[in-house]
Amino acid sequence: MAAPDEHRIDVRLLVLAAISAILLALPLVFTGRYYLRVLTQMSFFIVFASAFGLLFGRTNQLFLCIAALAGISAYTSGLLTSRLGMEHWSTILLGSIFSAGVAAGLSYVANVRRMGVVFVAILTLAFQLIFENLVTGLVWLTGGDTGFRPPPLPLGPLGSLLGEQMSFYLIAAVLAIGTLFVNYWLMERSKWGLIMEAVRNEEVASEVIGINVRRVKVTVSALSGFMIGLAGALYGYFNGLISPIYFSFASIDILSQVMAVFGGRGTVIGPLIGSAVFTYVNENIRYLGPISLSVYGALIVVLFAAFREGMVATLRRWTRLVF
Amino acid sequence: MKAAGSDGVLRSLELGRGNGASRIEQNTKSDQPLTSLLRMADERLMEVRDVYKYFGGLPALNGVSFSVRRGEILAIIGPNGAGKTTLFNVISGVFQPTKGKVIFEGKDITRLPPYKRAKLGIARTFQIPRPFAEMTVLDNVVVGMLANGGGSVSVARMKALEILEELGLRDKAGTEVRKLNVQEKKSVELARALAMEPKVLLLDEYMSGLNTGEVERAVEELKRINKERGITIVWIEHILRAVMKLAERVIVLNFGQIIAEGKPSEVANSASVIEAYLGRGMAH
Amino acid sequence: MVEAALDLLLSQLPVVLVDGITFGLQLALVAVGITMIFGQAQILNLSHGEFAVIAAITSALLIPLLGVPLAVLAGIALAVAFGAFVYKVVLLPAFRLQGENRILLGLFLMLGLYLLLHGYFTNQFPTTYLSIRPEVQTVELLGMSFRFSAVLAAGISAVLLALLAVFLKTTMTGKAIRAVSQNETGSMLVGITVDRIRLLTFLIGGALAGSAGIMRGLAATMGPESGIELTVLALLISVVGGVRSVPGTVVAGLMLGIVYMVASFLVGTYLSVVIMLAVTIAVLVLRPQGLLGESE
Repeated sequence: MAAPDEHRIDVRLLVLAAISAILLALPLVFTGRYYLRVLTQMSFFIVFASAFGLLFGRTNQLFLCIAALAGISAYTSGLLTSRLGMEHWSTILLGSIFSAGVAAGLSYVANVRRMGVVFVAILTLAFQLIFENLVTGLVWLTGGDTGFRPPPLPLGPLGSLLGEQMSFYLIAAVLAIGTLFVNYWLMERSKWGLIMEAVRNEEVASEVIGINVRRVKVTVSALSGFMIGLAGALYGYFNGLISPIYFSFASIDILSQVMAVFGGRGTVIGPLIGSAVFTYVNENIRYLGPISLSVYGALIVVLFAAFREGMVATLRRWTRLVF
Repeated sequence: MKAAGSDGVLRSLELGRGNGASRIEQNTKSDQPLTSLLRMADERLMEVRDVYKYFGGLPALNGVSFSVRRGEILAIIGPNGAGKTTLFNVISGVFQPTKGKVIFEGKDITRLPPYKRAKLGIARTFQIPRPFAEMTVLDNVVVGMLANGGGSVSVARMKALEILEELGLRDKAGTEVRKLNVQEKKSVELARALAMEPKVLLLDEYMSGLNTGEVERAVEELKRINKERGITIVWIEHILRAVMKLAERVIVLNFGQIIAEGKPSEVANSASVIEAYLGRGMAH
Repeated sequence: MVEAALDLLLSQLPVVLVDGITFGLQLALVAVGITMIFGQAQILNLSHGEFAVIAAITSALLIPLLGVPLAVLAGIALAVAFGAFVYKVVLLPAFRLQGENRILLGLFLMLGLYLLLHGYFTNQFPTTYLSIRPEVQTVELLGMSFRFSAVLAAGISAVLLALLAVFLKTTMTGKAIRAVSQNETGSMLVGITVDRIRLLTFLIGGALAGSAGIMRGLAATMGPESGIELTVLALLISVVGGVRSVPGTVVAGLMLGIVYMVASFLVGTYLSVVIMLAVTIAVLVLRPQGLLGESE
């Protein structure tokens, strides 16, 4: 955040590289189908949580429709491949561009008259509701509540070499690593980091010193929407089923928020820490059923009331105390 | 506190009638003839044309017109609620006027958003400072530079350090702005504005809260910015002592209208100005 | 097929309109609470619809024991008490902050509370629904027959909203509420204790939302999962209605209620939600200052 000197930048890059290596090597330690599935899940949530953290932590835009953005891309790609027989990867790209456009559109509408963080929240929450009702209601197209099975993602030589599960994990992990590096460049290396931080601090002052606040917000939204779209489409193929339950507020947004806030919103590795911790927690409270929602509710209350700065800031303080 | 304030106004008005005024006359005389000729011939940098601004039917600006010459220091004074800050908001684009125009370098900028006006060369500070509180002093200035094009982060950082040096903020460069006091925050805002390399600087009560010695220093600082950087300054101020010393021209605003305009000495003697301030003193 | 549907709609239009008005007034009951609480405390109450769920579930559980009138009152009383609890306990950390920080923290506290309650109710009472059916089934009006329960629900909602408007306009306390939402420090100066006024707002908000839950149970059915939908629709209505105006909120509520019922008659429940939300967003984009608000 505070202008890092050249030395610290190198350290951060090293940390990121180490994290990437660890992510890729995880399946060597955690073997077996179950673990591989959970790790893949975690990688997707690194992307969702990072995008939420970037939008909220750096541009003050509280997007409460991460699931809908992911779902738009998943449904687009899934429908195009299953109904029109189109090729997978190009439809994933199309779906992600669609998600990016919708995210940018929502951001644009919310910022037309500078209605602030509350309005973005209301608008995106309404949009999430629109999405869920739309895909449930258009039964002839989407299969309604039960959803539909898209044709499996052709994994090519990678699949025949490593098997489907491992290939999916590697794809998701590479996407997560890519997201981390994009966020690192955006937040810490480029002038965008400072400009976003200014916008987050004081919008009127930002505008008055020459920052096109709306453009910054819309651009960041488009980029986040694109990342969410990529992850969302792949998540659909990974689950093998595209249905409203996978792309509901309860199954994606809540986890992404908890992960991003716990780790530290607006930081690069915060969402990663959060995803690791809460993927583990989630697996362990899954048996609770609907009441796990209450657990997350209580968690959000406690996190925000007492732990708003997040893990990264806390770690920074601890390490400063130690060294 | 309010009573003391109006006392201060009276005293400064008297000051204006006496020593202050004569010193300003001397200053004008000592100007070289060539420069004053050039000044007279110089184009207008900015013009406010018949601007009205209503808030829910109440006029904050009621037909204000004036122009700003390139390179001058123009002070805007007037009692609280006279519409001074509203005027700045209209010029910098934070508000749209209900009626009227703002012209900058011959171009109508009335409908331009604030960030475009910034890029044209209009910078401002706020009466209640609005720095980027959770960023360092240095980053506040750097972002002022980067927002207006201005090359790479590292180049901007070096230039920003020079500005901080000049304003005596060098040793605070790494401090988060929220930890500074109000005066320091105002200086950070000024530094951020200077980083934009503006043509005109709109300062909103830059000196309020300063003691006598600090006002002297601030006056010198603004004089230097005006002379060395060639930046035109439009300046809202309550401390008339400083206005008398620094301003070349003064506009007096009351109830959203210009009630007097001229050299500081002339304005200080104008009956309507004294009335406006006295009226304010009595009202409290 | 479309023509047939339209013909049917035309013949049924008055009935559909009454349903729309009934639903719209319920939404307005929830929305004015959200508006007042945001105006008073800068808290966006994402758990506001859960107040309605609390009242509805409580009454549904108590009706076999106490009969309808007492059970309904107990339900509303619990919603009111919960309003006090939210204000005095849950939101405590938020009131230590100012400005945007308070708004954000308040928003997340209320989001967390919503999840907590939603998880609890859907888990604990998955099949409990409030459905009050008066013995009189229909009323004849202008040669058409309407469902009595819908007309009754609309009537009660309208009376409650009118009472609220009169209260805000004429009583000292009501004026104080409006004063606080306009200027916090100013009202402290004239001797209004902001704390008491705020508490009152949460109590009124709880009572109105609780009543909305009961009215929904009277006009249709109200179950544990309906909270968030009420919240989101009411949020939109309070934005569309203009943040400070009760009449604006009612007009917006009626508009959306009617759009919803007409659409639901034509295309079914899911898509009618989509249509209603799309209309709302369109209105927000075209008239961001609110329906009855004056343009700047």
